Amino acid sequence: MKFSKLTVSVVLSVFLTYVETSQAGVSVIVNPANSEEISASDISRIYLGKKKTYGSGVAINALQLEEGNAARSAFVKGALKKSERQYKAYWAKLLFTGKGKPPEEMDSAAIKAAVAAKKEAIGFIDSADVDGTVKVVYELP
Amino acid sequence: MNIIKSMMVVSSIGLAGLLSTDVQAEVGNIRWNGFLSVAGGVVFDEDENFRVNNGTFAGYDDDVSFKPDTLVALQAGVDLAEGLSVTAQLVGKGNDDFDANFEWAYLSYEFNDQWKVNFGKLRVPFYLYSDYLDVAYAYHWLRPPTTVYSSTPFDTYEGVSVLYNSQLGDWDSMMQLTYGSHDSDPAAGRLEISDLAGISWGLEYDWFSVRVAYLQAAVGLSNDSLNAIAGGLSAAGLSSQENKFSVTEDDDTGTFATIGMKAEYEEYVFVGEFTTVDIEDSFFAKSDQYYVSGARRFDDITVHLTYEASEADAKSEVINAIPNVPALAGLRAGVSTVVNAQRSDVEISTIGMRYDFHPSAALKLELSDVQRKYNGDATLFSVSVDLIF
Repeated sequence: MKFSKLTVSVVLSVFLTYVETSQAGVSVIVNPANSEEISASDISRIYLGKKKTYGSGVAINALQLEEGNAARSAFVKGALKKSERQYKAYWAKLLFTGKGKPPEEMDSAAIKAAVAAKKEAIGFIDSADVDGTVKVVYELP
Repeated sequence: MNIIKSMMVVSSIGLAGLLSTDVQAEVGNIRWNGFLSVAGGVVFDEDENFRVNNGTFAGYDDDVSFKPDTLVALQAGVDLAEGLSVTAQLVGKGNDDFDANFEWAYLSYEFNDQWKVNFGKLRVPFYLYSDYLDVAYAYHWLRPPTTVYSSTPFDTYEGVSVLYNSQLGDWDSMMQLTYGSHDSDPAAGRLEISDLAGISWGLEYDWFSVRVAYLQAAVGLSNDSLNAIAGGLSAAGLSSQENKFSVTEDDDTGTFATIGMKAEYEEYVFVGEFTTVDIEDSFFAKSDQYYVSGARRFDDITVHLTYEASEADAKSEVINAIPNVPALAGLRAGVSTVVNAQRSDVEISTIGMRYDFHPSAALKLELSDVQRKYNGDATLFSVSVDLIF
């Protein structure tokens, strides 16, 4: 019985790790009225500050989930091929050299609301949170 | 106190220059960011040669000091109308007793994703890490390799830079044209740089990037000992030698060239840079320096090994041009002291560790083995905490 607490927490943490990694994917979303062509490479360039306007010339309003969010880590790793630390250091470089400012951070609901309201907005959220108010342009498995 | 006073200056920058009411409405949205490094270090195991030759490396001696690499910076950024922005970065360094200086202060206009123009006080694009030299959080070292990063006695200029970003197939190309001037009073004397012009070009493909740059400028450098030597040579009728010690913007051109590369693949980082600096027809030695550094990440811990070296041969022909006669013995001795001080033969090996203990902060430890033929050997241990906010 002495070990039960430990055992439970080990089992639980193994289970949680499993749940986290087997979670639904991450979806990149835009306004349903946004008809710009957006490729996987465009998405990476947008979130690395290299692409600031859509093909039509409209300025992009990029939004991102807050640091520590599992879907954000998955996006940064899967779409940008960086760890959270590298991503943070990358933006520090751009920020402190006046070359750019990182996408605004907000929670999943706020991103969905902003994307649903603004034609130029783009964001990424947990695929499980996607609904009809936004359009998915890319999905990370 | 200095920082607070200067913060007020920064916040008024946006307001002061730009007077239209439209612009003032925007100024409410000042973005404040900053970074901080607290670092200490001490030199030990030094040899006799090190002690005799002023006994410092990277600003440290055998007493623990927190000054050389400690700094705090605040940055204010304001987006004005369409593509126009103002950025000012105020940095207080331990070495300057935390007197705050603007390392950056400029107006920027972004025409589109490709073209951008900056006016104001900017960083000279000498090195791979020039733009964020002070932001230690952004690199794996405690300080960038000293041999390469002190190739030139200045890092900033006042002027203009034009940036052109484009895509060449799968490669990102970043080209920067630079023009401006610089005046300062470093330890070496009065430094006056004008017609600083150069080009820097970087190519990046996924995990690999390469960069080349070439800059030149009219260089003026004067101090008491140079003036005394030039005066003595002139009095001795050695005018062609005198010219080598009167380094003026009228007839002395300094050149700087570099190549660097960086590979950041999965958990590995490999980076290296080579620089070469020369001031033609002067007593200054042509100097070459380079470093190579490899780092491996293990989750929150990064370990790196860095090797750097610099080499410069004194221009002995400058000494030999002075007749070896008793009447000129004093002058010859003065000249050879100054000319020989230009010699350099340095090898430094550093092992270091970075521990990302917080999403915005890192702890770093470094041990450097310093071998300097002319200034002595020693070991430097340093530790820092670098953060961004």
